[in-house]
Amino acid sequence: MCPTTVLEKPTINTSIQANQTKKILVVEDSPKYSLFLKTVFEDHGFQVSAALSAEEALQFVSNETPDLITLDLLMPGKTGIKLYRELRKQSNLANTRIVILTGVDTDSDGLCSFDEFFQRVSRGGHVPKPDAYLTKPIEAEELISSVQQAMNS
Amino acid sequence: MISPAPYLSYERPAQNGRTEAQQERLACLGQTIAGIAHSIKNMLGMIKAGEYLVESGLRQSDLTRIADGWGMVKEGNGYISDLVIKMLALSRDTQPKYEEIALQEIANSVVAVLLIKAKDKNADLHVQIEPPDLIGIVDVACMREAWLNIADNAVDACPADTGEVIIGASADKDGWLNIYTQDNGPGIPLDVQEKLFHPFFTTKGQKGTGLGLAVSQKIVHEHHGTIYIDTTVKKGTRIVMRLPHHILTKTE
Repeated sequence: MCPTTVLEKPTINTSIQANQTKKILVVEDSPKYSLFLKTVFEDHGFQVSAALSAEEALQFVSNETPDLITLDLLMPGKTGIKLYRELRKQSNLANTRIVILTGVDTDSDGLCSFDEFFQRVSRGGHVPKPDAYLTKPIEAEELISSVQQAMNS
Repeated sequence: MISPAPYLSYERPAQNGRTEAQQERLACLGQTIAGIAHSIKNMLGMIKAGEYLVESGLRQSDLTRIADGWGMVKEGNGYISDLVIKMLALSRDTQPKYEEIALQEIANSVVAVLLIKAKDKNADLHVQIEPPDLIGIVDVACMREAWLNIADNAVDACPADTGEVIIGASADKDGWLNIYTQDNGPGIPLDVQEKLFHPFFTTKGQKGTGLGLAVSQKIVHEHHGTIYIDTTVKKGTRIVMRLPHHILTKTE
């Protein structure tokens, strides 16, 4: 038998209460996928807001400071890469965790890995790394576990 | 005496002991498989997300959430079915079963399929057959599919609220048949035009299979015709399936 690593399941129920003070901004252009992400986070106690475009996201963060932002890289108009750079420049987001959640489309975006993403992001000068880099499709448990890890890091 | 092995100059050995032709076929196969895997993976994401919403809705007795989730599961399934049908259409070597048909009839059935999508976008669909009783001899099912694919793209390309799509057909003086769609979308940049007919190339993200135009092109070629794009950036795109003379003359 192959040796297996048993990953401990996140203790979701006990942390729901702790999550209730945490705010997440979901930046995702697909209304359906946005609804999924919003539901997953709300089911786990977070306060969630959604932005369907980069413009909406920038508008949102000009008034509010979420604890964490999940960012889709492939959006019409301003790309996730440009938006990531801009978000990292905002002083009120200095403590905000940013988690990239991407469909990874090598044809239309030329992105296929975290390294390539980070290389492109860094071309415009030094930018901190994202707190997590996740690819779709993603299971709700993995998403929650990564987000909680990013928040606690 | 043993003669030296003949050197096969027409199949030059390449890397890993494979010939260049084999390498090319493998690369092409690899791209195709990657395209299929990528498309299916995207849609599995949609189905998984839908499953989660259904389960979450069931836990909380939230019918709206269940309906939203179920819609996503159905959309994902529909997409994968569409992908499989298009892949089969691309891989089959078919001979058109020619039938005489009023092109107005095919155009109407294309409009019927796209009506909801156009309504959602508040876009107008016009059928423009010149002359209105124009008859073509085509494989009706295949030509409907080819026309639907280009019309579907036209609806996607046109702007919301002010979108206009013409689903048209006309006969040239020399008897060639032009079956086309015209949209008032943003036009297609040159670098995209080059890839339009490549299988799995799509500008629609998760919404497109990237096979529609490849299938249309195959159908047009099977009808011994050509397909071309006339596009102006910021003005719109006309895609024309031009079918040869002999098809029309069969009606005469």
